[in-house]
Amino acid sequence: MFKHDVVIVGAGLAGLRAAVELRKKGIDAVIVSKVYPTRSHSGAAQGGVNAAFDEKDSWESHFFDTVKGSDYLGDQDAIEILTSEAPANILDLQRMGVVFNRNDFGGIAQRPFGGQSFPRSCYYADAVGHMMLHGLFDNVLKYKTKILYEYFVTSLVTDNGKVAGVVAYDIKTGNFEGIAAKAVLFATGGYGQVYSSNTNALINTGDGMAVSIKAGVPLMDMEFVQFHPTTLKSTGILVTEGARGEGAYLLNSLGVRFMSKYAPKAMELAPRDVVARAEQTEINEGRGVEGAILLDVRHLGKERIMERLPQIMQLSIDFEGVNPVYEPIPIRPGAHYSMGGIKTDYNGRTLIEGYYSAGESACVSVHGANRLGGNSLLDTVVFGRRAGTDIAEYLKSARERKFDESAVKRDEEIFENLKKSSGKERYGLLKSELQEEMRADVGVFREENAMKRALEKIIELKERAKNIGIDDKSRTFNTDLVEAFEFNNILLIAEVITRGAILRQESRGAHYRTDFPERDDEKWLKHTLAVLDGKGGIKFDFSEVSITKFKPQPRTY
Amino acid sequence: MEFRIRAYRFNPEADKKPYYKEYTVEDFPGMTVLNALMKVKAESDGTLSFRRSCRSAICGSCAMKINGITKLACKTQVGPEIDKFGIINVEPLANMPVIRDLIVDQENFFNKIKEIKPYLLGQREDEAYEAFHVLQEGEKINQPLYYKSEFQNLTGNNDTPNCILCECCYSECGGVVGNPKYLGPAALAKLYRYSEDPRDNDRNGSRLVNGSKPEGIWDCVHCQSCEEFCPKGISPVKSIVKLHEKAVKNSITFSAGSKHVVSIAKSIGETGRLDEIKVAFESGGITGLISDLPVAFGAGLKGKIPPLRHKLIKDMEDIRLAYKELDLEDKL
Amino acid sequence: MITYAYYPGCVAQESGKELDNSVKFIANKLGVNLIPMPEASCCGGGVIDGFDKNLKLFINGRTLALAEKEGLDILTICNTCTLTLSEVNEELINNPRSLEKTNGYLAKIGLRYSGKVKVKHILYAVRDDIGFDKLKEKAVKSLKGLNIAPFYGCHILRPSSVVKFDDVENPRGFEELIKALGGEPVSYARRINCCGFQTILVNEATSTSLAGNAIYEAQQKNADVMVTPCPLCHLSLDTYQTVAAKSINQKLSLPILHLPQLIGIALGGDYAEMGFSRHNISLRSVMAKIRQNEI
Repeated sequence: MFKHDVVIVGAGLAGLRAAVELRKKGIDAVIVSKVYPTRSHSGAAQGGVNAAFDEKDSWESHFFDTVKGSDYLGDQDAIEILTSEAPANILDLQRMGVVFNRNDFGGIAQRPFGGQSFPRSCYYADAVGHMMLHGLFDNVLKYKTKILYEYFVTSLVTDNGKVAGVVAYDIKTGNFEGIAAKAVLFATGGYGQVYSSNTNALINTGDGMAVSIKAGVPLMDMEFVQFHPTTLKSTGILVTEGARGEGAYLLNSLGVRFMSKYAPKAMELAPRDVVARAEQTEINEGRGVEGAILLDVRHLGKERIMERLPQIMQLSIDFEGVNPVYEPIPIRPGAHYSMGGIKTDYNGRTLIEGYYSAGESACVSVHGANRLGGNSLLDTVVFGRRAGTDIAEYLKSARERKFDESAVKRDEEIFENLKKSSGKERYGLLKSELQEEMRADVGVFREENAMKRALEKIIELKERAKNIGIDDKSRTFNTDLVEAFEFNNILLIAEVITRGAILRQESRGAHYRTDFPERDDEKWLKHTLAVLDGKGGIKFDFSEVSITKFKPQPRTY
Repeated sequence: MEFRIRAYRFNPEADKKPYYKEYTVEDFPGMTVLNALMKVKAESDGTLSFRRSCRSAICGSCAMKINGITKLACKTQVGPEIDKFGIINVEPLANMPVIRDLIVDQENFFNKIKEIKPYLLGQREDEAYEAFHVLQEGEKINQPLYYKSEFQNLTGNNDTPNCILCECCYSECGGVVGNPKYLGPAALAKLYRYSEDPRDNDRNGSRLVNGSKPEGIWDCVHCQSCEEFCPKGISPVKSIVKLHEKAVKNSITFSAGSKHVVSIAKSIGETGRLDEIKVAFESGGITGLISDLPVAFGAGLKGKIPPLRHKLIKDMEDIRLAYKELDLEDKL
Repeated sequence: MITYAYYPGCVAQESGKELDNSVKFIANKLGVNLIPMPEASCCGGGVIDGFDKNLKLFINGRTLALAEKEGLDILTICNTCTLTLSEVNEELINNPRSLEKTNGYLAKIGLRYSGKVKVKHILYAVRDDIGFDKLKEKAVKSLKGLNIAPFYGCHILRPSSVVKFDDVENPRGFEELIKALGGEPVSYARRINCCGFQTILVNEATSTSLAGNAIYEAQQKNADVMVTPCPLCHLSLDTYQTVAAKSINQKLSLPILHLPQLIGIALGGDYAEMGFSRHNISLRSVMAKIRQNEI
């Protein structure tokens, strides 16, 4: 049993940013993560983080671009915070030791990104997520923060409607531990592993979201899944939007820059939902190259590629066998980011007192129906910091509460039972079936019958999952057991996504229904909120979108 | 094509000592060692344990010994390994205790990262917080200016900030093999990274002083393995040598290692040659020489003691000119 | 006739004189012409850039320029000399600013470098320029039945971006040479590891345990003798072997030869000529084994 004032679950950018904020104030915050912090998937973010710095740019313009990018589903009060606090947050990181590339005048260099009306993405070559993650981690070390790494959080514990801590499985020893706290922050990231062909790490299994919905906290707008337009054809590994920011072309099999048809003004730098659909249309209509589209950077020249896109060059060589200096890179859309997540306000608060979320696991919502490139890293630091600040305030009045240790026993039993099972199903194979089904039927283009098919598959898999056999019976580093548990999480998340997507009968941002191809503001300019119904199903409620400055308009690029 | 994976297995709960288990795997084009391990785990043996996460060579989780060399499993293609070795032999990282199978205990490694103070020094603790400024309507932010040249050693593709702490270098490091307490290439590269940061305010040179203590920069054996086997193309050994140069230039020469380097430089400046006796004497001081006496005695019996007086090389004045051109005469 | 500018390095001219002698002997037997470089300086022992990086460029640029003036490639017999000269060579070829700076100095001493010289270590000069066939043809003594552990050391393998002689993960050149002489190469993992020499005067325990580990492994694999292409490795492995044994707390007694000594014996050199008596660990067992082949 551990006891701390604050438990931060997840050690990616949002979690680390919050930790720095709390530790700087001397608050007793512990970081709990299922991997060592620097292994977190924030490190794989490549292209940039947005903030208006240039004299000709303004945060208000960033504000509007983000609202429009969200297809008006983003909450404008929150987006105003995101964009007006953006420059201060970037400078804050810089003071902490994060390095950004410089422009010729000594300022932070910025590149264009999709859906942004000004080049405002700050970068460190094409590894800005890595730079920020390690920079923040170094600060976490500076403030001597306790880190429980390779601890897997299985439950949220509450006491009379207030958070009381979490239950965690110590992967190294196989012991379950209660961690009591007055405040808990989930910065647990996304669920990319729901889909085959995704850009995400294998650890991105929506654990925090699953734990939340099980604790009665609604998940918001889960039907909005971002498909990144440029992921390597064979592996789904991310190729930064920064490539197009630097001037890369998208070509179909005829060698045509097809974006002229879909977004004549913005071309390759249209928002991700628009580009992903355009690519999928080209592929579906037979103008793909063996199921892929070509991303061509050759005209940028070797020097610029080496300077600005070194990681992309290396990844293409190592994972696709293609040197982008000489050949176009075969790419296709791949599941990338969750616009939806644990419903929070703009201070990271959820419906349970003392329970917070920030980063991709949270839905504030600043991304609405479609996130703009370069806004997710920004989201993590702005709202990670805000959550940290708010928790510090909250602690001043937060009272002691009781940690119900039976929760630890309960989770231990669930794991023990899972471990004992000698069923014939292998979770690894079930996972592949799920991922393939989700890609095929709840992907870039969606339609009722296909999605119902997906739902049937999910229900079938839930049944078969009861029969999962676990090979590994030991306590020490039982990754077999952890992965089986993760599989149950992605299965639950897949169901929430699919049911939400069936429910929303319109097309908005990343959610495109071929049977309802238009946006329907009258019926659907609202957030969906999913909770468990207690009978093994999911029920939905709705909430209003905050519209302060910008009235919804048709969205063209 | 089918191929064989031979995996190091050890479960402390069940096994008295490690053993190897072989699996046969069906290949697919572009298959990586990580793909192969995951296939084994998903389809046939869930007990095979290893760390993995991003599968794109940025998180650093899946470093392991593959056919004797430490590599990232996610980045290593099966094909070329099979061509060269006929098998995929996987073992845990060296220089770290094994917890289970391919999983090692990384605590020491990360403690060493902490030890070099991996953050900017000399800032007021509350500075960052106080400086935070939220923009009002119509307002723009002023940013501090740093020129490209100030970050020139931190923004190149192969510069140290690109390190992912994957431990490949640490596993291959000769210095750590010899002395488990040696800080090792990753930590020292990080020390270099912060020492090169224009925002670092290390007024009293504490980084170089601390780095020069035993187990620090002067314990590098120059085996070049860290550079050779870094999956991100970084050269920790070159960073370490740059730290040597910085220490010497700043007259932080209390360590035996720095004395050694200075004495070699002196010897070359005087005779054009490396005077083994003199260098030995000056590197270790008198105690060093005494402790090496048995060695010297053994060598002496075989007539191996080098001449005490050194002949100058021909055209020695050329070498002296090099020292003069570089303003190094006063360092001798 | 193959001709090289011969760069023996410091150790082979002093405490490791037997190495220099053996090289001259085998060059003569193999019809290789070695042009001495009396003006050449020490390369800096692999650590001079820790004193001043430009000094490394200048003194080694000078050595390269001396060879270029004669229109010759450089033959090295020490790993560290090989790496240092190769590093400087790469730098001068690929970095115009470094070349300009270095040539500024060289101009003042009547030299100029343009990047034409190749630096070859004797192991790979034998493989690539002289050829194993020639070696076999000239050999008069078989090393049959002799278990020879090749110890590559670091600096002729790594970094492979600079020294490009062999496959850095699985080098074969040394083994092939041993086989060409009729010997049995011993397969052991530490053949490509570090001997620890660079810190032998700084941290003796660290340093010697590296050598100790390698010797111990080779011994376990039934090596009769360990052979190294580097006189610095030789110091670690032979001169310090008794210290190394204490560092790793094992019994060690493995004779260590310089590569040219081994070749020299095969080419008919006698043991005294090859300086067998100059080593710390007795070579009697090796000589006995070779003698068996003669009977």
